[in-house]
Formats: sequence, C-alpha cells, structure tokens
Amino acid sequence: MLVATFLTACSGSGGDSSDNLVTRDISIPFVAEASNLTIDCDTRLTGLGTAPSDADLLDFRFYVHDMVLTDEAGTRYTTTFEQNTWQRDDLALVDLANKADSCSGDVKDTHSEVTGTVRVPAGTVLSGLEFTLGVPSALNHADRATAEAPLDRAGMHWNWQNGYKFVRVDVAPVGGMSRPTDAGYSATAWNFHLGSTDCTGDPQLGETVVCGRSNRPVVSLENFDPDLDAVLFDYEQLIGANDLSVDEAAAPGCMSGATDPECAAIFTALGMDVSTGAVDNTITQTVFRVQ
Amino acid sequence: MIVLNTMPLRSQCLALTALFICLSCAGLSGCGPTGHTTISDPSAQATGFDWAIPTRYPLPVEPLDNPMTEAKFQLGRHLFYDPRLSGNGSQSCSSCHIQALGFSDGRTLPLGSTGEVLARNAQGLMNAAYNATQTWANPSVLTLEQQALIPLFSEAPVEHGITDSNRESVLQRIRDEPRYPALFSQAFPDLGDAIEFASIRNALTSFVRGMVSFNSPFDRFEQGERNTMSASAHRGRQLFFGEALECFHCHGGYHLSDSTRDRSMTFVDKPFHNTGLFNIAGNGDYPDDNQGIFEISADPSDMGKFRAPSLRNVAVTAPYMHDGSMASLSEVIDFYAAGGRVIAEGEHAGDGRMNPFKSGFVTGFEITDGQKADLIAFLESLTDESFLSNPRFSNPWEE
Repeated sequence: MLVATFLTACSGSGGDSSDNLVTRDISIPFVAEASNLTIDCDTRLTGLGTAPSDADLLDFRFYVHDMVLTDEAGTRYTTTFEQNTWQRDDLALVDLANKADSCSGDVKDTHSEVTGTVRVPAGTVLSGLEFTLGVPSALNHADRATAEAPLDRAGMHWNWQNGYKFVRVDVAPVGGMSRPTDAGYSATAWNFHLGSTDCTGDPQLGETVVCGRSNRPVVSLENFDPDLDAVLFDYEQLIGANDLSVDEAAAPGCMSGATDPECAAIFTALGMDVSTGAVDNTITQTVFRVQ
Repeated sequence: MIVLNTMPLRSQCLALTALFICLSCAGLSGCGPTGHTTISDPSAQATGFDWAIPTRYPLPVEPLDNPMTEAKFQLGRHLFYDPRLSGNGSQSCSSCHIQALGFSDGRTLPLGSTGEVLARNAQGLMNAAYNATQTWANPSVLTLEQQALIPLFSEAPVEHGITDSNRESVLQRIRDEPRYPALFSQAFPDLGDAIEFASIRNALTSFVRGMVSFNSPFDRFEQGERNTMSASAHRGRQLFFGEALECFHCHGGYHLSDSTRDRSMTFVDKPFHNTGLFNIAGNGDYPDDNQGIFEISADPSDMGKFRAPSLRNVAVTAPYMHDGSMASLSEVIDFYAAGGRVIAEGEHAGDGRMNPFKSGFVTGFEITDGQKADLIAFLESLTDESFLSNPRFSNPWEE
C-alpha cells in the first residue's frame, strides 16, 4: 500500500480544485468459471462446447488496462493501479492458472485481484466498471527482451506477431482434437490466443508499429459494486458455439485468425468484429459479467 | 564498368546505385579525394564495425539501439554455437544453420530441440542482414532482433525451447561458462558482468548481421575480375537476367532478392510472392499449416506468398522452397519452366499453375537441356566458398 499511497500523492493534477475528493482503495476480484465449475489447474472441466467436451486447463491469463469506475450519472473515474510484479502503469495481468508449465508444473502464484485506488467525490456511489482487454499499443510493441513485469512473461510473448498475447486461455480436451477434412490431423490443445495481428513497423528502426487488427475488446459492466462484486470470466460463453473435439482449419482453436472458423463466434462473444478487429457497437460482449 | 554493358536494365540501375553509394561512403569515411560531392544520408550512421565487403555495396541497416561492434559479433558467435542456449541443453542456432551449407541444414524440414518438426525449411543466413523482412513469410518481422526471439522462445513448434520455467537455469548455464564473463563485459561494457537475454539476443543478431560476403565467382566477376566464371555460367547468367526466364524480377539486385533493405534506402518494399506450388481444390489454397503471409494478414490474396530468398550459396542450401519440397536445382528449374506445380492426387491435389494468386512473373518458359545446364552453372557460381570456410564464422568452441 505504500506504493499506492505514493502514486496517489503524485497524481494531484487529477484533482481538481474541489476539495471534497477522497481516495478509495479498490480491489477488483476476477474469477473464471465454465459450466458452474471454478476454473483452475486441478479441476477437469465438463460439458464444454457443442460436443460437449471435457477438458483440462493448460493456461488462463489475460491483460487488462484502462480500468474505469462509473457512478449512476455515468461519470467516469480513472483508476490508479498499485505497482507490483503483476501491475505496471495502468496495465494488469490477471493469471488464474495455479500451476506453472501449462498446469503440469509446480504450484505458482495467481493474480486474481486488481488493486489500486480511485479518487471520487465524497459520497459517490460507484456502480459500473469498464476495462479494455489487452496491452496498450505503446507497450505491445516495445522490445520484449528488455520488458519488465508483468510484460516479461515469455508465455505471453507473441513474437511472430511482434507483440503480446492479450488473452491466453488454453485447454486440453479429453480425447484430443480431430479435423473432418484430414484423417491424419491430431492436436491436443484447444487454444485461444487474442492479440493484435497484421502488424508492421519496427520501433528499433525509429518506426511506429501499426496493426491491421487491434483486437482489443472493451468490457463494460453495469450494476457493479467495487466493494462487493467480482468480474466473472465465463469460459463456456467464450467457446460455447465451438466443438472442442474438432479444429476445422487453421490454428488449433483460435489464434485471432480473421478467417479461422473457430474465431468467428469467439469474437462475437467478445463484442468484436472478427474481420476488422474493432469493437462492434451493435453487439454486447457476453464473456464477462458481474458476480 | 564492363558490368554496365553486359547487365540488363534493372541490374544496371542497381549497379549505378551501388556506385552512388560508393561515392557516399568515401565522403563519410573522409579518406576520399578532396572536393568531391558529399551526399546527406542520415541513415548512413557511422559504424565501428569492419564489414569487410567491397565499397560498391551499401551497408546493412543497424538498429539504433544495437550498433555493430566486433566484441558483440564475437560474443554472438560463441552463443550461436552454444547448445546451452536451449531449454534442454541440446540445441544451438548452429544445429539448424551449418556453415558449410551456407548456414542451412540440408534437411527438408528442421527439428526443434524436443524433436518437433518445423513447418518451414531452414534458410541460409549469409547476407540475411539485407533482408527487408526476416523468416520465410512475415511482414511483421523486420529485424534480426525481432526474428531471434522466435526460435529461442517459440512454443508451437518448440525450437530452442526456452520458457518462463527454465529461462533462469538457461541463463545460469551461460553465466557458469568461464569464457563468457569477459566476452559479455567487452561486448556490453555498460552492463558490467550482467548476463541477460536482451544482451544475448543483441549479440546473436550482431553475429548474424555480420555474416555478409560478396565473394562468389559471380560477385568477383561483377567487381571486375575476369575468368571467375565458366562460359557455361556466363550463358546461364544471361538466361537468368533475361526476360524469357524472368528469374531476376524476384531474385535480382545485388542481394539477388527483391526483398532488400540497406542503409541507402529511404523507402523499403516488403515483397512476397505466390509461385504456384499449390492450388488445393482449385481455390488457391496452400496446406493449412503453411500459407505464407496470409497467416499474418488474413487477406485472401496473400495466400501462398513467401519472401524470395537471396540465391547466394543456393547450390549448397538444398532442399528448396519454403517447405523443402524440392531436392535439386534441376527440379526447381523444371517447376518454374512449367509455371507451377501440378499435384495429381492426395489431400493437396490441385494445379498450382492455375493458382489465382500466383505471381505474374511465374508464367513458364521453354528451356533446353543445355540451357538448363548453363543456368545451373550460373547458380553454382553464386556459391561463396570463402564464406563457407571463413574461420570468422566457424565454431569458436572447437578452437
């Protein structure tokens, strides 16, 4: 908390002339479920997708940034994250996998509560939460070899796309995966990797990296009480329209491919247009909800 | 400049460009004659590295935050040949990049450190510093610094197999080698005795960036030497740079590839080409795990587009194509003469000649057996024997 206090003291410019602002500590819990089972490395998930399939967890991590709380009038209050090995600037890594090495290794720390502060007028009733999934562009394309926590996790590096995996949720369906058009096909992991794609430009050459598809969903939750509620990531909502025993084409699962058949329904569930990588304002994401 | 009289138009332009750069370099080095024209070229930063290439060729680009030094090159050479730089200690860069083979590996497809088969053929590395993009087909990977992280940390497929779990033990293995502390402190004097992946990466890329050479019989002919190439190779050279075969459209210029970046350029093309290797089910498709830059852009017209590799050392870097599917230069020439590849049966069946995304320069041509032998003789004249045995690029752990 010392860190958070220090940062708050430095951010006086947010502030305002009004002297009735108060600094409130926040701690936003994230939980993940699939078909009412809490997701962790030790729980076999059941009833997934259209098959339905059983599956074991391999990885469950995602970055969030630009977290904002809102009051009943819709006024937005920017949060300030505590700075630690999971949180840097306004970026946090949520990690719900409790074992290393694709859930096969040693027990490791998770990070399920995003902590920090928010400055609001005294008496404000906060009732909404908004955040963006992913890593902001300026950080997404910085040199990963020198990146500091929480951007130093090699498992979240997406080197061939010159950036980061924003979301990495991988499961191993029991019985593996087949491909209807290829009798010789075999895969063991149904992966979901979300990240910016079609990027070009190199900061090391003084260029700005520009991506054809940003792929950063915005999650906006109403009726969220930051003192009582948690953010629920419902994995079944994410993949429910897919058959996890099958990969029809392209990457096993969905790795943000705009034409990957497994990606279409996943992007819709995240409120995104899979072809442009932009938020689709005509639909609402269904993966995250208040718990 | 006899070269100007014998080379086709495009090559002449490049030769003139090289001459222009030559003047520029002379001005920068301050050792040229007085009173000559100086050319303002902000990208031609001073370099502290002896590239050991003729002045007629422009220098490769150096990243702003990783300028070339001999100390980094030498450290990178040790790391390149060090299998400790892999998760299980079994694989070095040199496992798939063998100097005698132009730093290719002679296999159809390379194997990662845990035995996984990679999707694409291991490429030769000589003059990779001049590639506009790195790897076979990735417009997002522009520098060797970006490229190097892929084999070190890739999970699918596993190459060197370095992960979050083993990275500290990999680093400790490097730190424990008695030769390294001095090499690192010389290469990165500002970092003291720290050994981290950023400096490992920057040294590896300095070694690979320094793998430049223009000393094949063809190069020496271009530089004005006589009698470096056979009469057959000269006939093949004229075929190669001629409009009938169209080879030079994608494999022209001093880099023998149209994917070229050097420090004289203010604008860089990043070309990729579909050559008609596949046309699965007649809709232009390539095999599912290997679809070129379509995998990056998701643009349907990018299906099957790959970077044209430089042809230097091509005679020693068999097998050919991004998937290693052609064993010999003869087979490659037959393929281009046919204007694509027909696969009669199986899951990849289709007439590649009719691929709707095929390059307009791959239209097929007539070639006699004698002409084909001449063309192969020319391609063999691109082998830089001095590079293949140069001790500067050899395994320092065997010294």
